[in-house]
Amino acid sequence: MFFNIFSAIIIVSSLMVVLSRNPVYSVLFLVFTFLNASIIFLISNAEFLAMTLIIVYVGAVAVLFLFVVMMLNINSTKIKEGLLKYLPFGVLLTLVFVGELYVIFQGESLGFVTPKIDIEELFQNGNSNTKAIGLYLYTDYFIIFQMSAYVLLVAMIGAIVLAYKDKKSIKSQNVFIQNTVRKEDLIKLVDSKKK
Amino acid sequence: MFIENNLVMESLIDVLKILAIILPLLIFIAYLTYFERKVIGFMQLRKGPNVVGPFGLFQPFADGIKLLTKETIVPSNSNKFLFILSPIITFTLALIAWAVIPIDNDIVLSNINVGIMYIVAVSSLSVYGIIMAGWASNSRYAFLGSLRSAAQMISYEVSIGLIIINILITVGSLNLSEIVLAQKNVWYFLPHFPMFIVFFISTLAETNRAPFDLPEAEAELVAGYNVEYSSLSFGLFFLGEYGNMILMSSMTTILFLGGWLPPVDNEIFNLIPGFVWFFLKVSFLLFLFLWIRATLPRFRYDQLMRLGWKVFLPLSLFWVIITSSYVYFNNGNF
Repeated sequence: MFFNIFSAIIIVSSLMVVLSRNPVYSVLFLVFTFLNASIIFLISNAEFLAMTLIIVYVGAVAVLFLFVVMMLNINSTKIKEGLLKYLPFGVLLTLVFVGELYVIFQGESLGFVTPKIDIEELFQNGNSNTKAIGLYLYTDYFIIFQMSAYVLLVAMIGAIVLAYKDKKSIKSQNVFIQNTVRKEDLIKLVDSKKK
Repeated sequence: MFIENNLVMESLIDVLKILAIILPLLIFIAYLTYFERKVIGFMQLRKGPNVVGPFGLFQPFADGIKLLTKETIVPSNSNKFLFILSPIITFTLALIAWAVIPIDNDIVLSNINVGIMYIVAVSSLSVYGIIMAGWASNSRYAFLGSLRSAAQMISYEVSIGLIIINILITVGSLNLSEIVLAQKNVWYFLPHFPMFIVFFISTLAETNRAPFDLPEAEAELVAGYNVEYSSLSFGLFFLGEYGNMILMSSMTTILFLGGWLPPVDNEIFNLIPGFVWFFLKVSFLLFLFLWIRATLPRFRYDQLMRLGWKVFLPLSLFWVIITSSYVYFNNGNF
């Protein structure tokens, strides 16, 4: 029953992410969606994933979204104009995603070889949720895990390259110079009588 | 029928347990404000509050009543729903983290096995109260204050997370009670001393306290994200901020100062119950907070960001490598 309630909330609020006129509301609905998704993780005894979802997506990613959306003066009607243009691409992405999910859950009937994780066995050894994830992530799927980290690194470097400006034209304080400055460098005592 | 009665009884007991945590906490928050004014008063050779009641002990209640009886002003151009929601979020988040804090051996509301991650999650959520308050106020000062505050909190959360990873590697558990019990032989502030310092400074920045109280830099931003707030809505922000101070101090106590454990495991110290030790340690850390506020001038904003990203982040990352190598070559023991 709880699963149905929260998944209904997720569906409604993720629709509101797309439909609401104010982009700030969209981000807040996105946050609400993440929170409910983490509750669903909690219901299915995946407490580590639930907490990670909140820390990573709500605590970091969505905050940055909110930052950008609040500071840019986005005209929401202008965004809506592009809706039809992006619709085919969106539908395509959704289909790919649904297909991937189908392969994961029903892949054997299609002839795919899907890796099997025996969940029963994992928890019989008295492993906690956290340990179980760690055991798989850092052994069998280590390469994939590292590769996804590199994808993020590439994205980060790309963002920095796009936003990088020539430092010479910007007047900024050099903290090292500021900290190493001594009294003698700034104040010079002159004996006025001697001359 | 019997089962239903049992369920009602259980939830009633749960509510009583929650009240048993929240009520002392609220009194602690109230007296923290009194304590702050007294301590800073003495440090500046003043007397501090001394009129209401003996030694001014009823001052927090007088302040509270004054705050509650003022008129709540909601700016007409503000986003009213978010304007009222954000102080509620801030205050609630400052309280719900206490569900997992063990104040004594087995005295904890819910002993979940991802306790430390729960606290990190809750504290990362508390950015939202501030950023929404700044945006909903529809005022430039409030908005700038909230942006500063949010950027500051996110930046220092990164190094806090890495420092927590150090502790997790040494303990091998995410459960807060197990983290405390693992410090039976040595409190972690000794082997992890540099991290203890970095963590303490990061908690100062995370709670927006001096010398990192840039969001409320009076001279430039009037009062930061809460300029437009009055009466109870301001009071909730205020209580939330002080609640977060106590929460962060208890986190430092649990991670580095051995939680409820006495300093030396002998008979005289063991006579004193664990929650008294916990209270003493938290109070000591809070005193440090106030001492720093009375002593240090405010950081400049670029210095603050530089400290967070260019000094603390590499340092704590380096320490993670040291800790994990030590544990690895020591066959998983610390």
